[in-house]
This record gives sequence, structure tokens and C-alpha cells, in this order.
Amino acid sequence: VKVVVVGAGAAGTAAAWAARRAGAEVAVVHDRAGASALASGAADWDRWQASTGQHALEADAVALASALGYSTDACLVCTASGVLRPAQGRDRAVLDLAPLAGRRIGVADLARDDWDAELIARALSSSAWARTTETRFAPRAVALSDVQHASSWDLAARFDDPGQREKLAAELVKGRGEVDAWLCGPWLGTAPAACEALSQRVELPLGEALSPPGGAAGARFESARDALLEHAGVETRRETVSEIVLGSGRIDVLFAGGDRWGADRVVLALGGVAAGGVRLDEARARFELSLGAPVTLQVDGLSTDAVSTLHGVDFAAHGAALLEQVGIATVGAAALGAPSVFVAGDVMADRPRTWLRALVTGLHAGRAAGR
Amino acid sequence: MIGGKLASYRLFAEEMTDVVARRLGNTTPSKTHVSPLPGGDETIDPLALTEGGRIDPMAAVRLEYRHGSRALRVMERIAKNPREARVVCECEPVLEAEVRYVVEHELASSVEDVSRRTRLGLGSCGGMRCAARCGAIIAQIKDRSPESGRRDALRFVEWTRKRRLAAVGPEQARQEALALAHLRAEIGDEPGEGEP
Repeated sequence: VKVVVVGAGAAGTAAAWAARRAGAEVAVVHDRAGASALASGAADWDRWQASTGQHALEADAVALASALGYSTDACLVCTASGVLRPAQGRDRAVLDLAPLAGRRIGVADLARDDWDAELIARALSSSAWARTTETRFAPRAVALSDVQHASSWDLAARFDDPGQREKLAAELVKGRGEVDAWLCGPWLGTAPAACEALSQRVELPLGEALSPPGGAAGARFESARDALLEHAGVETRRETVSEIVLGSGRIDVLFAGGDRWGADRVVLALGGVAAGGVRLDEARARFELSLGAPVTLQVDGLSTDAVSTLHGVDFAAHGAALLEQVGIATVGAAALGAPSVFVAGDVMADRPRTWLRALVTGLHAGRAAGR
Repeated sequence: MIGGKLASYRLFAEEMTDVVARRLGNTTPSKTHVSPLPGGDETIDPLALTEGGRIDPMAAVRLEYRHGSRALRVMERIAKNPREARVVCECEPVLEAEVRYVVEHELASSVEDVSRRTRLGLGSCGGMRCAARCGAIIAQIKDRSPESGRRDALRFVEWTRKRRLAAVGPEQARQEALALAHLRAEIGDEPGEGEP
């Protein structure tokens, strides 16, 4: 069986991995950065405000998340605005504050536009958690040159280099005896192992706050993913897919460049509106898939024609949430009306934008497609 | 008198004041047209504000455009505390010193107030990268809780988002969805309630 997976975010990667383990020949085609590459580093099952405790994950999901650099243990993480929040898992470079209750946490104070250690420490200190556990957060100067204007991605990439990392380590080591852990911004390396190497060198727990879109967590996901797919023996190609055509017993995957692949099964894991998998067709004022495929789009259980009006998609009635609710109508993991086309991740209708759920829908779609 | 542009407000005010003065029998000639507006007393070279490259030239030009010679007061803050040279809003751009200046001297007390005075958050990202930080700065100056600063920021982003949704196009829809995802990851839908 040949399975082609379109998209290489959390869902597409999981689908490729699962289909490969089911014995299929698997190829992944992807193009632009999607929601997983823009992810914050927190792994959620539901939106975190709506979270009702730890979701029990299947063993495959735990193993795959781990291979992608994620822990799936319940944790307490914080954002660059100094907001504490629970998560079902995290990129291992993100600092888990739960085991640090009652300790002194130094907030690395670098002269950067996107990281205000003083305000972050103020916000974290005033949280109910910090007050009840008597956890202290305080800014602590970290003297590094040329850090103000570097983008957070560039700064993270700088610390992939052992020599540059040593300069940061030398500053953080000065905190020994005065702080019990370091909270840094999302710039502790784009390589999955950089943060752990730094922590071992400094001999203190340290980690990042959550990343903004396009930050270090996304970069680490991409490098872990590339290594994983290569190790699994999955062929990958970077190109835009223009159309999926159902033939008799065979599916054609047409590339924008004119080339084509044949497949027995296809998994669509190309993301929702944020990732660009679904887009708004301005002329016809409705949502459409970014590639031609025999699937039906749905919002709130209705086909998307229902949300079109003469004046455009009716955001007034649905609000901005409409952007997250639109997706492909499915029967189980397969697209409605096209049983050899499977769907995973954000592009499934009514799936909240959450990393772990995308991963699990990918596993299910990949297993079904690889059978 | 309803509506008008900033450029014509002064003219309206001058004519109206003349009418009132005549009614009151005040014969002193009007001085409005020769009194400079705040910051309009002298022309300054915005590029001289860049402090040899420490301040982004575009930020300096915008600062001078908005505040005239009072841009020097903002720069004095930076001379005293170099931390305030940091950029809060990248799109416009707006420096931290300017945010603090309008809160302390121009009666701004919310992110929306700061936005009206500085254009913070009205660029391409719709405030998704700067509103939270601006709210935190205001909360700190006004001695309010960080949580109230986040609520203020969220109110602002909801306000700018509503204004844009009316005219949303394909690329903007993607941008809006990203803003939603970012907001959710950064401060949540209802800040405070998600806190453990």
C-alpha cells in the first residue's frame, strides 16, 4: 500500500509514522510552515482554559511525542506575558514550574524588545500559585552582547553553537546559590538537545517560557520531525500540492510544478485556516481547501455554503471563532464521501487547535490509511 | 460643531472663541494662531534622536512626527533609563519610553488610550505582539494587578479584531486565525480564570 501524506505538522508526522508502522510505503509532501511550526511548545488536548485534567494518552502517542522532543506529563508552564498555565505536556526545553514550587526562580534579564524580565517576574509573583506556594520570581541580569535586536529565532539558533552556549552558561552559572532555577525566554536553541546541554552545564533546572508564533519551539519541532521521518524511512518532498484526483482504485496527487505521484491512500493533514490548509475564497465568499480534493467542508455541522452570504462569510453571526471551526467533514478518520482520503489535525471540522489532539488524530488516520 | 480633522480643530476653536469673546465684549486680539501647539514650538531633526544608532531611525521619525519637540522629553527618559529604549510595538514602531510618557503625562490609562496617542497595536499584527506588554506596563505604572493589565490588553485586541473582521479577506483571515491562536497561547481567552 502506498500512502501519501499531505502536510508535515504534528498530525501529518503522526500519520506518516503510524502508516509506516502499519507496513505501508509512505511519502510526505509539505510546503509552508503550519500551526505546528508556529506552536508555543505547550502540548494540550483541549484549549487550556477548558481543560478538565489529564487526558489518558495511548502508548503510541506518548512514544511519538517523546521522539518529537515532547514530554507528556502534566506540567505547569508560563508565557512571555507571565501567565501561568497547566499543560498536558511540553516541549522539553520549556520550563516545568510544578516541581519548583517554593523555590527561587531567576528570570533571565536580557536587554531584548520581546522579553521584559521585570514585568514577567512581577506578573508571575502575583499569581495565586506563587503566593500560595511562596515561590519567588526575580529578574536577574544576564550580560550578553548583541541580543537586543536579534529575532528570538536567530537568538535561539545562536545557542545551538557550543561556543555561544558557553557564553550564556557562564552568565547563568553566576546564579548558583542565589537562584534554584532559571526561567529564560524562548531562545534556548533550535536544536532539540541544546537546552538540556545548557542545563547540565549550569547544574540548575532551566528552561523557556512558551514561544510566540514562529519561535524556537516550532523550530525544534521541525528539526525533530525531519530526523524522525528520515529514521522511519519516509520519503519527503517540499512542494505545493495542487489537486488530489480520485481515479478507479488509484489516487493521483498532482503537484503545482506539473509532476504527479500515484497513491492508494491519501492523508490530508494540511492544517486549518491559520496554517493555510483552508482559505477564504474572496470572490465566492466562502471557505475552500487550499488544494483541489473530493471533500466537503463543514462549519458547525453544516456545509460551508450555509455560512456564505452576498456580502461574504458571516463573521457577524459566528464571530472570529468561525476561523477555527471550519474543516473537512469526516466519517471516523476518512473524508465524507471519499473513503480512501483520510483527514487529520486542524483540517478536521470542529477540532480545537491543540497539539496533542492533532497528533492523535494523525495516528488514527495513519493507521487506517496504512492498513 | 460635530466632527472634524485634527488639522482643522484649531481653526474651528479659534473662530468659535472669537465669537464668544465678541459676545463677552472682550476686545483683546486672538493669539491662537501664533501660539505653538504642544511640541510645535521648534523643529527638531528626528535623525538626531537615534543616539548614534541605538534607536531605530524609523522609531525616531515616528516619535518626532507624533510629539514634535516633545520627543526630546521622551528621549530624556531613555537617557536616564536605557531600558526604556526597547521597542514595545514593532509595527509602528513605539518605544517603551513613549508608552510610559503618554501614561504619565498625557492621561492615557488603558491600552486603547495608548493606541490612540501612539498608534500602538494598529499595524499589521493588530496588537498581538504588543498589547499584552503595553497592558503590563500600564498596570505597573498605575499600581494595578498584572491580571487587570492582561484584561485591558485582551479588550483592546478584541476591539481591533472586531473592526477588521468586517472587511476580512483571504490573507487577513489567516492572520486573524494566527492572532487568535497566539492570544490563546499567550494570555488565554479569559485571563485570570485559567490560572491554577
